[in-house]
Order: sequence, then C-alpha cells, then structure tokens
Amino acid sequence: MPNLRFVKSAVAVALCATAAYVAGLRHAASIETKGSHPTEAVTQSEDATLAVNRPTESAPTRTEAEHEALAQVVALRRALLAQAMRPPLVAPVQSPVALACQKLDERLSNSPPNAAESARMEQAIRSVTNSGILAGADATISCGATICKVDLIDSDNARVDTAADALSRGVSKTFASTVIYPQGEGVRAIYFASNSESLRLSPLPEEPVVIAKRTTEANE
Amino acid sequence: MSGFALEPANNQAPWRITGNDANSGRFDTTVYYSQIGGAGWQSENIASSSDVDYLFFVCPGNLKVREVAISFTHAKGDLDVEAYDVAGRLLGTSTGTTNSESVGVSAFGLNAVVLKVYGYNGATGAYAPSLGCG
Repeated sequence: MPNLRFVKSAVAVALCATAAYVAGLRHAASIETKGSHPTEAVTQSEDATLAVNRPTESAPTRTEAEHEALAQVVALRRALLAQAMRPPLVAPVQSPVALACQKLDERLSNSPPNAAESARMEQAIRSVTNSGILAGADATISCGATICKVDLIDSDNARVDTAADALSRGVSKTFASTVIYPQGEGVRAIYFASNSESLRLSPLPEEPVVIAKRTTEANE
Repeated sequence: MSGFALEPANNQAPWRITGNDANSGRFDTTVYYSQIGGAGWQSENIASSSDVDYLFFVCPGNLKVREVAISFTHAKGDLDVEAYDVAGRLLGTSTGTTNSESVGVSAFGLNAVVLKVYGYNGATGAYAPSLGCG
C-alpha cells in the first residue's frame, strides 16, 4: 500500500517543479535575448529548478526519495529538450541516379582548374550543340578539367533522348566516356570525361560475377 | 518497335534478342546470346567494317549490372561500345583509345544491359566482353 502522504507530497513537488520549470524557461528566454545559447539557457533554468527545490536551512527538509524523483523528472526534461534541438539523424533518401549526379557534380567542381583543357572540351561540345543536331533541345554546358556536364531539356521526352544520343555520338573520340542520367520528364544530364575513370562511381569486384558471351546466328 | 525484345528459350540461356528502331535502324540485328556456364566462353570479333555486335548481359538473381566492358588490342583495331537498357535507351558510351572500353551503369539499378560493339572508322578485331554485377 503506497504511502498516501508521500504520494501527495510527490504530486506537490512535481507541480512545484513544473511551475519552477515554466519560470525557468521564461528566465531562459530572457537570458537568450542577452546572447546566451538557448540550450545553455534552458540548462541553467533546470539547474535553477533543482536549486529551488533543494532543501534549505529555513525550508523543511525533503526525503532522499523526493529529491531523487525530482532529479529524474529534470533529467528526463533535459534529455527531451536536447533531443528536440538535435538535427534529424536520418538524411533524406536520394535515388542512386541523384547520388551519382551529385558525386559527378562534385568531381566536376572540385577538380583542379585547367582553363585550357576546359575550354577545349567545352568547344568540342559546343560545336555539336550549335550544329542543330539537338533538334531544338536546350543545352547548358559546364566543364571542369576532366569532366563536362550538359543539361539537356526538351518538352518532348523522346526527343530529348534522341538529342542525348546525337550529342554523345557527336563528341566521340574527343571524350573517352559518356553517361546519360535521366533527371525527369524531358531532362537529361550527360557527363563527358576524357578518361573512363573520371565517371566511375564504385570499385568493381576483383572478378566479375558473371561473364556473358554472344554467338551470332551464323554460328548456330 | 523501339528497343529490344528478349525471348528466352525455356527461360534459360541462350537468349534471343531482336530489335528494331524504326527511326535509325539501330537495333535491326537478330542475334543469339548465352551466359557463360551454359555454352562456354568464346572470343568475339568485329569481322568487317559493317559488323556490329549487340551483347545482352544479365546478372543472376537480384544482382544489378555495375559495369559492362570489352578488352581488345587497340593496335589491331579501335573498337568502341555503347550501353543501352532493354528499352533501347542509351545509358553511356566508351570511345577511348586504350585496350579496353567500359561503361559504368551501377546507378541505373538494372538487371540487364545491352552492349553495342563496333569498330571506329571501320576498324575490326577480336574482343572479350565482361560484365560486373553487384
């Protein structure tokens, strides 16, 4: 049978702690306006709450159990506040294509500058895009030292694929490697590189898992 | 019809690939393919200036194609490749000047990829295809 007097006392302490907590938050807000970090301010207010509820020489003393219960309440509040102020642990999930583009974009922008090579590669692409081979698709070109990116946009999804094919073939041998990533309806990101390593995203296993071969009809 | 039509024989290799692109005639070749382990390994060959090979690569189980590639002797003939999905959409090309060509396709998450092999400016030569799955 729980001690009724103690339960009443615990409820009173909790109410008192809540009131002190609210007062502490108000106090924290005033501290914050003076330039303190919000978390520190709240922590200070919690400490104040504890101090308010600790026995003093003039106040009647509380039992160890009451102090322990109060400390637990305060600790829980601190944990909840800290959790609320933390950024979310789970980052938004990106598609593999979006991640690939992000990685290649970083490579493009972080590569050591080579103005002459960038200009040469951009000119090679521009000579194709200006030839009318894209059939109206809009192309935006950006080049680094070893990678160029062309953002192709067309209102027609099939036409943008045709334009991407034509552009990839048009710069054959100027670039060693190209890859075309769909970015949505009518939008493609094409990456061109002077070597295939620049577009590689992940290491291959030591040995390919499967090797395929073809036999022509004539061989059947 | 655009793209490739895949016709597995008894759901086993060899696979038959037929394709035709009404606009470019790009996939007008009918060829048979098989996975190694079923029919054994053979070197491939671009035999003439007009020869074009289409290789159908498929990864086992739930594995996805990470890279398709060929190796060859560049000094004997410069070969290039283009990688497509089975719908006939170009994924990437490799047109270097070394003894191998490869296209990384891991981001597409595909179980099957078609590789077009051809000689640059009419070049010919034997090549060995390979496939990386993961």
